[in-house]
Amino acid sequence: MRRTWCLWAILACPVLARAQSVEVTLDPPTITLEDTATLTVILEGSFDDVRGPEMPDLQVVGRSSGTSVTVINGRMSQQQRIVLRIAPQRTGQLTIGPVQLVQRGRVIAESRRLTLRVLPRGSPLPASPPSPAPPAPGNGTPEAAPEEPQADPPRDVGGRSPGREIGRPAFLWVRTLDRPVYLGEPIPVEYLLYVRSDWPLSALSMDSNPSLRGFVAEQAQTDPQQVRRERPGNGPTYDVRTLWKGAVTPLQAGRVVLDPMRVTLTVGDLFSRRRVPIASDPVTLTVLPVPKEGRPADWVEGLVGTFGLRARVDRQALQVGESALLTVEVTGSGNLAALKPPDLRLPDRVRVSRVPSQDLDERVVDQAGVSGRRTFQFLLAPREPGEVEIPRIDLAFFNPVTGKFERARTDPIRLQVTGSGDRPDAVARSHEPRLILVDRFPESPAQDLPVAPSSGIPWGLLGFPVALWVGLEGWAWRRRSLQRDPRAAVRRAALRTALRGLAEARRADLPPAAFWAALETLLRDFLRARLDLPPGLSPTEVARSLAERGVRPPLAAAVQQELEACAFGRFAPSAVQDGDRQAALVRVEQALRELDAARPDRAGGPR
Amino acid sequence: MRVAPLFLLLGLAASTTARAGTLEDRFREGVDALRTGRPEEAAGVFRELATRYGLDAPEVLLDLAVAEFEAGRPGPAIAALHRVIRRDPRGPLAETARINLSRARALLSEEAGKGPKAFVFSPYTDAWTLLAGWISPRIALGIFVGLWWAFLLGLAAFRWPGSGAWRRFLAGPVVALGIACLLAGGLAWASDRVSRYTVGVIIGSRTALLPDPAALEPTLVLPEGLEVRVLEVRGGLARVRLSSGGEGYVPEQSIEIP
Repeated sequence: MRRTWCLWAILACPVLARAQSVEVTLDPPTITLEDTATLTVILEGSFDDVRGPEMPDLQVVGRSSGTSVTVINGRMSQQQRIVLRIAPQRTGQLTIGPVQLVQRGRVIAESRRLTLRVLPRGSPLPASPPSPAPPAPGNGTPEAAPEEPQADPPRDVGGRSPGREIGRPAFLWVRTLDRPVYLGEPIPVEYLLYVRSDWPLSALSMDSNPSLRGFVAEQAQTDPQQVRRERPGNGPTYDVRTLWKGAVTPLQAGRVVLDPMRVTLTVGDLFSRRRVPIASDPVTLTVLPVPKEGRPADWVEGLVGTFGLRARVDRQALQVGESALLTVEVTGSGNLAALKPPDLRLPDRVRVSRVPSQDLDERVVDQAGVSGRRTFQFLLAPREPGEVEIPRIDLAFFNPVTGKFERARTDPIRLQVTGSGDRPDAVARSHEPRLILVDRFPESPAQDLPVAPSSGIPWGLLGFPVALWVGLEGWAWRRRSLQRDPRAAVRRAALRTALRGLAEARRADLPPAAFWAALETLLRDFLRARLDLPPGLSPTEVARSLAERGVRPPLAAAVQQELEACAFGRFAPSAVQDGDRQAALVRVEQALRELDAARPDRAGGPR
Repeated sequence: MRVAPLFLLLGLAASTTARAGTLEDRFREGVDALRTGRPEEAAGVFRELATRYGLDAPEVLLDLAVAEFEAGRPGPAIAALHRVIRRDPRGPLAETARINLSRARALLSEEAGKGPKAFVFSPYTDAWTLLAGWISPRIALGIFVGLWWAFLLGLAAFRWPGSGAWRRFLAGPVVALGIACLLAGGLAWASDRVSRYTVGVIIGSRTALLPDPAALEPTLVLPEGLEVRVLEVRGGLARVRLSSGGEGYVPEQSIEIP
């Protein structure tokens, strides 16, 4: 069974045409050990069994199948197309045996033997010849029937087929595998509506979809409007519509049920229309657990299917600082989602980083199950020169067809890492450079980089007119304000004038009477200028006036005391000592500053 | 003893003459190697002239770029072309370097287009370069300063005592000048910002762009010769931004800042 790919299991429907033929094509005829080839088998006509092909050195890593019905001049023929993706196990000329159609124990058609040429890994492939003519069909093939144009030809997976339903005007049929399945194995399921061709079906409505509890379901694209014709069991001809197809993966072992689907058919014409509800029978599947015997330690739970493994690098010679792209490709059919990135056991001197490569994945869900390709890419960046070996990569999986654990593996790959000198894979190109070359020797050996202009000049150019503007505006505003209130200038200058007088009094060696008179004058001038106090007030009146203007009472009292001290010093100069003059200067200066800080020129008066 | 300085001077002159002749000969050797299909050898010659002998003139850098490109190292080639342009942005060789840059980008884009993940090799572009990359910062600043002065003069005329009769004629132009001034200021600022971009060239053949410094899996694999904006270089990693807007870290040795 391993060596012979039994096609009969794929064929479920009887074939309606009389003529039998088998045609096998191989594309491409030459591959390397790391590639895969596509083997297409086209069967036509009526037969009981299919044998072959024998492929002892080839492994099937993917499969798909389809059926097309052709009606020519009232004659119906059906064509089965099986596409196998095959991977070589060794190099050399590998033979693919003939495919035989058998009827009543007799071979009625046979394809020719094919040879696949397999070159060693990395060998250049010969240029593709123009499209080869299709090989001669097997014996007993009088003509090749043209295919009916179909965007997505329906495929047949084999297994259960309608038996007791044949003869009924319409029925729903669940097509799936007719064997025990394993936990985690995606299996194809199709819900097919069979309506007898002579039944006047005018409309179709879905009442309930199968819930598929206990499964992970992946639905494939379907077109209920697409109709193909079948004649199961040599009974009446049926129009077959696919209402649901996809792959389901059982989540638990034991007996699980595929729910029925319910539809309502509207039949008849406008005057005799009636509605006919129909439902499919529930289908019970036996789900076996994956056996524990022989289970490899590195088997990933759920990895059930048939897989092939390939690894390649985009370059085998590189230099330190460069990276090689390692691509690990898993192809086949089964639970591809359970795959995990392979564990690369590389030496520490190689830095490994995973590259996102989900966009390279291919996943096909159809009535053949789940098949496709998962790609894992890694960047390998060696840190030191020398030879680096990427060890063999293993993938353990459970093959539900053989019921055994199997293993796919790659060959080791060697990388040659050179130092940071010349690049070994420099491509020799045309002698004429693709860019413009200068053959003039430089006159000045070296030039300094141009010096960037100082950034201060632009700021100066921007700021100068603004500063000029602000200055002129300020000056004009001050002039205007002085013109409006001439007293304001006197008020603002009062403290400055008084302090200047204090400094002169401190410097000048005045006689005591003149000193106290000057100090009193200075204080009274300040009070007049700053607080508009009239001249000639006694110290007591000054204190009262200050209090009336909102000056704090202690400050008003201090001013009163200073004025009294000045009067005392003026009239009894001999009683006052030099130390008193200095202390008075300090006290008066402090009083002046406090009075000025009271800012009586502001609204609200002094505080 | 009196003749010793004379001999010394003669010796120095002779050695200088010999060195100059050797450098020119080496330059010619490099050009010949490039014309006869030996780009690796030519690149070695030009690199030696530029680094060992300090002859980093635009002619040598430009030929070094051609040799590196022909030898299959587009990253260093593009970086050398950028250096030629920076040396003398208005010189005739800068124009040649710009043409070579365009050709190199076109050739790289053509080759990259064959792969599944195509990159467009172009100068680093983002919203700011689109807005203000077309104008020199000096010119933009000159326009701004001119408009600024004009606006201030207009304001001064508007505010001038006795200009009451003219104010209604002045108001519109002054407002327009103010708006133009604002726009020109923004343009000058953006142009200055763009001119301060540090643009780097990827020189590693396949450089992993890590989303953060500690990440193990890159978000992208950058091809050699891609021009990116370098935001910062720290701890052996350079934080870069791509024209597409993506941002990440690349090893410092995988990028060259011209």
